[in-house]
Amino acid sequence: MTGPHADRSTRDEEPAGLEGGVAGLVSTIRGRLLRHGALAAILWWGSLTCAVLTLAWVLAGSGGWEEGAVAPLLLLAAVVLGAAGAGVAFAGAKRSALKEERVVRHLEEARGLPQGLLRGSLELARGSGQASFSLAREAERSVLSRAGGRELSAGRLEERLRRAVRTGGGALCVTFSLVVLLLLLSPDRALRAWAGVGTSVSVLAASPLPSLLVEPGTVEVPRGDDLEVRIAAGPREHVFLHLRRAGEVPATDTIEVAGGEGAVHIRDVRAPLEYWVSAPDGDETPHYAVTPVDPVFLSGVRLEVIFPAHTGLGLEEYRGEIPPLSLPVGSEVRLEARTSRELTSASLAVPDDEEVVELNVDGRSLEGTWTPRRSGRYDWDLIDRQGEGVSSVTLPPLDFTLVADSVPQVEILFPERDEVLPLSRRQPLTVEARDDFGLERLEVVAYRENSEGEASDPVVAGTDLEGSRRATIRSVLDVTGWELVQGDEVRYYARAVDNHPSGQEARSEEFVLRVPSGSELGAEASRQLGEASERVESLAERARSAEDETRNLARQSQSVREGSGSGDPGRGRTPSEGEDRLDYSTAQELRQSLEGHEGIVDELESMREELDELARGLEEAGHSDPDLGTDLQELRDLLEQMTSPELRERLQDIDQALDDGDLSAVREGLRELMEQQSDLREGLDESLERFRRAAAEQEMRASGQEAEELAQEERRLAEAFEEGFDPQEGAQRQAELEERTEVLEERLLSLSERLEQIDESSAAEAARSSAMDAQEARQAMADAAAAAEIGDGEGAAAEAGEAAERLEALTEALDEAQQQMAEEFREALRHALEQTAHDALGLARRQADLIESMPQSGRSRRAGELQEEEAMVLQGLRNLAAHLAHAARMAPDISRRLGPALGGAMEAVEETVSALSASRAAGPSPRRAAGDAHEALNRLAHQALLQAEQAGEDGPSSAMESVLEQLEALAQQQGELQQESESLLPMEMGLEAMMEALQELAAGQSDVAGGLDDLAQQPGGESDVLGDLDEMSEEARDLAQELEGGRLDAETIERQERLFQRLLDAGRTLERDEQSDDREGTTAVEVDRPEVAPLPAELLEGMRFRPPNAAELEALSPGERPLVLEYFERLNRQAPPRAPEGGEPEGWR
Amino acid sequence: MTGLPMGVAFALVVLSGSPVAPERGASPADTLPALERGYELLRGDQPAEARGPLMEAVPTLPSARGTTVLRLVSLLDRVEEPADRLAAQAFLAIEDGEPEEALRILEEGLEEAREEDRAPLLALAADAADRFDRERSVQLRTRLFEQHPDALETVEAAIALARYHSATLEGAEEALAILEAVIVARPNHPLAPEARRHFERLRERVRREGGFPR
Repeated sequence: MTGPHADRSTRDEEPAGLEGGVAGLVSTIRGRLLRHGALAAILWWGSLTCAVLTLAWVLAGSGGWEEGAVAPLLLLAAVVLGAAGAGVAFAGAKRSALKEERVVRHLEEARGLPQGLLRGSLELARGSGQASFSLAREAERSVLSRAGGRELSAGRLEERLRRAVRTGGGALCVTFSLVVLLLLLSPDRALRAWAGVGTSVSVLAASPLPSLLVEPGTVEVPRGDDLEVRIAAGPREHVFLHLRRAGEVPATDTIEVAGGEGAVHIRDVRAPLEYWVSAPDGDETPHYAVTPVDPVFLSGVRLEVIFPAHTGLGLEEYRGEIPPLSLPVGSEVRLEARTSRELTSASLAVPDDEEVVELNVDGRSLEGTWTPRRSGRYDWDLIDRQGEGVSSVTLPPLDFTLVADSVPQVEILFPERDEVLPLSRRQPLTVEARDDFGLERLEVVAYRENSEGEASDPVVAGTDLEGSRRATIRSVLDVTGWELVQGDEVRYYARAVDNHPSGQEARSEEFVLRVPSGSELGAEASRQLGEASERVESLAERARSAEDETRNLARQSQSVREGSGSGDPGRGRTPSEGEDRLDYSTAQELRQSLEGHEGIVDELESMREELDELARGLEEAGHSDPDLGTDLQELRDLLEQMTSPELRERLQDIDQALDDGDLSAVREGLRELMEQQSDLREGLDESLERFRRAAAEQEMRASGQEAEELAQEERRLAEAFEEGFDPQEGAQRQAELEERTEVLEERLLSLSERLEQIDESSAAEAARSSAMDAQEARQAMADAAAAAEIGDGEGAAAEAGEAAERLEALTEALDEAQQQMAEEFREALRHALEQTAHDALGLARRQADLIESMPQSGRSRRAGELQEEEAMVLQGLRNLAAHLAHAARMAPDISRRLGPALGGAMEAVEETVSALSASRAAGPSPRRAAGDAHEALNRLAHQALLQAEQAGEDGPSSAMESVLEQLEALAQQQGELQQESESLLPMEMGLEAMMEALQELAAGQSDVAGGLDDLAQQPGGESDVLGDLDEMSEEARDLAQELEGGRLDAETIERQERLFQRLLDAGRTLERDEQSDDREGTTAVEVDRPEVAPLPAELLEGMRFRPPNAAELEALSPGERPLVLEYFERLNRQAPPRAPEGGEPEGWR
Repeated sequence: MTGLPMGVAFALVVLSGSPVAPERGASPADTLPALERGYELLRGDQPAEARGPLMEAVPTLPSARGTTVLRLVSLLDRVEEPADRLAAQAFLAIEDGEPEEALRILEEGLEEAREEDRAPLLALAADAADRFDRERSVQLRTRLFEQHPDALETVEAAIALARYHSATLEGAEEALAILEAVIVARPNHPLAPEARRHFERLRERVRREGGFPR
């Protein structure tokens, strides 16, 4: 070892115990001081930590640290900083206060050593100078001995350190004791608090818990009731309910919380109590008070309801417990009650509403009147004298449901859909209206809308209902006179007004009455005619039964007579007056039969009126089918014949006889009744066929028209499909046409049955064939619709075209069948008339044979035989009349035209039979009478041939031509009258004869007037005739009156001639041969001027053949007289034909 | 007068008592009496056109003549060519006093006529034959009765046949059969009462005079 330190080995040995020397001493003391310093730092840090723990215990409180609290972190930071600070302080002290130099100085001070001595020694010891080791050691020993060894104190420094240790220890003891004490006192709290400090970061990061919410809070509860407390505790698992009743120890219950809520019942609250809720996390609610209260008793409750006047309801009163009430809006409520406590105010209020009804309070009485404005529960709000609200009352709240006055309901029950306007232009309606409180008025409103959509002003018809709550009204919507045309619609609805002051109104659905098309009119006419024919058939059956019954009654009454008259003569008994009277039962039966007959007549009259209405309806609808018009007129005439006023009078006479009980009069009445019934039955049988034929013909016409319309529409649809018509709309339109075609098919099948019924087999077959065509057309329509639906326009067009072709073929077939039927009808009629003519001529020939057997004058020996044979002619004529009546079933007009000739023939033959009677003394001779009969039979045949010619040309099918014929006939008749008047004027006749002739003329003139009246009523006779038929009729009637008054002069004849000319002109107009104002000129031609010869001498000599005188002319009809006069004139003008001796020129046999 | 219906126009001729001035261009035939005009038209093989004048003439004729003309018109209305022409020719022949000629015309032309027109021609032929050959008329009527039982002329023909046969007792049975057939087939015919009366009288006569028990 070298150096100073090497010297150390060679140095003297150190004093004992001073190992290390001064350095060691200093180091030892310094070490001791450092230890003290560290200890003091630790002790103080410890006491800081305990203090922090104590503070934490205080700050955390009993609930523990709140989530997010900063204090634990701060406390922890204080501990940590304390420790850091202690370390820093110790380290700083070690470097500064406790560094070696300072320690050495403190040592020198403590031992009173000269400053620097110790230091110098230390340095010498460490050989830091140039002194020798032994000197250094010697010096060190000296210092050490003076220093005092290791027990050397560092003086004040060490003292301070020792003091710090002592105080630190003391603080630690105190704080530590405090910590222990806190731990012992409330270990949970202490641990929670200190744990929070230890996990201060977690405490800081944790979310705070929601506040506790409690319901109902402070509340009043009826005494004895339970109180439910509901607690909203958030995520807590349990809370604590604290309950403090008056006079009791507070109780705490743990309430489990589920789903953030908990509940508890506080039973039987009879005394005030207090409650609050707390949570483990320290949250706590305020304290709530529960106060039991006694209910307010209400007695004498009376509630009156005054309903609005329009409801018609009377006052209603409720007492005691008021049930829930339904009140009409506007009802007034009047309330009275008495309370068990005096109140200062009372009211009723609807929760959450502004409506509060203040009641008048007078001590313990309360009353109020108000009109509730809304439905709801009116809660009682009573304030007692203490100014506190009474929380309960014995009565529940008032519950009102306000019911508003509902709008009336109105509905049209019939018809319940759109319809076609009836022909009568009157549509029955059934309307029903209802209202909750009453109806004021019910109206039907109708207006017209034309095809352009323009609407007319509505027409209103109504009736007052005076508050009825329900009404069903049957009325008729009459639109006659509205001048509706095809394309127009009548729209109508019903309107009801109730009796609410505001007059609430409601209207029904609006319906439409469509003006029928031509085909629909035809179909309706057909339907009505079909119904009429069925009714006639039924009436004919009834008439047959009635006739049988009357016949039985007649036999009964006859047996009564025989019985009453067969008294035993031996007994001397004669029929008394009483035995000649009708017994009661027979009289009753007879009266029933009479009533039955009257019923039939009434029904026929009703049918006639219906046909009149049908004709009017068709006319008003503009349906101009002359054939139908003719049919209707004929049918009406038939019915009129069967319901004449004379028949009624006779029935009344019979009824009177029944009342009188006069048997003989009753028998006479029976006979008349039987006669009437027989006539009626015959008339019905005759008219039945006509009705059936008219119905079938009309149905054929209507079906043809419908088929034609369908064909046209189908053709148009086919074209539309080709042009790309909307498929869906086209399919719908096609479906509509298909439906109509199906109806047509059914009608055609029904028509075929009707035609079979009237023995029109070929027409029936045509109808059936047409029905099949309709079916095929329908099939094609269905195919067209299907094609349209899938968008195949071309296919749809093809199928629709096929359907149209079928329908067109059907139309043609029907038309042909109709024409054929008409042709067959005309043919049948012509044949019947030809047969009539032939038969009449056969009788005429027979009559001629009989005339041959009669002597020129006087009676024949064979008069009786001749009379029998003449009677055979008469019977034959009756058979002919029966055949003619059968033909008249087909054409009633025939009866009118041939009737006079037939009647004349019968009369003449009867006269002949009478003339051949042996007992007859006066009158024409049999031969003369037979000659007249022969003439009459010829006239009948002549007329029948004329009618047959007409039937063969056009039949009775043209109304216009029928009018023309009748005009011609009337013109001819008027001309005959005029001629007769002219012939009468120069005649020197006796007054009586003249008057009789004038009466005849007047009757003829009246016939013309009547004929013109009838003509004006017929179809075709009303508007196209030049001149007014009514005026001409009036003129004819005036002329008749003049003639009847015995006035015949030149003026009368002139007027007759003018009337005749007017009739001819009217006929010309119908023939379209109107007079023209155009001037027409022709080239002059040679005129053959006959030479005017001198008057024949015989004219000056007088007539060779005297014409019949006035009396003889009287026996002739007005038409015959001029013919006879002309005949004699020709006779007198010409040389008579050579005739065999004793007779008239022989005819061709 | 243009345009007036013919019937009315000619009625004026009849009623006024004075001839109507002829239209310019009208033929002289228009002024002839109607009957003559009708005959002219018949002669001219215009039976259809003859109808009008004949009908017009009837009211002016004596009854028997009128019946004859009406029978012709009735026949012409019911038949067609050539029957109408045959009937017209036969009628004129009869009028001219030549019933044999009438019969010849009808018999020769009968087969040309339609089936339904033969009955009236047979009746007309029988009427013509009545004037000169009764047997012939019976044959014709028998043919009419047997071959055309439903014709209008049959009943009259049957009654005439019955009259003929009932002239003898031997023919009475046949007459009764004919009458019975008529009465049964057409009980309501205008001539049925006569047929019935004839039947009853004939039967009574047969019973009275002996013959077959009935």
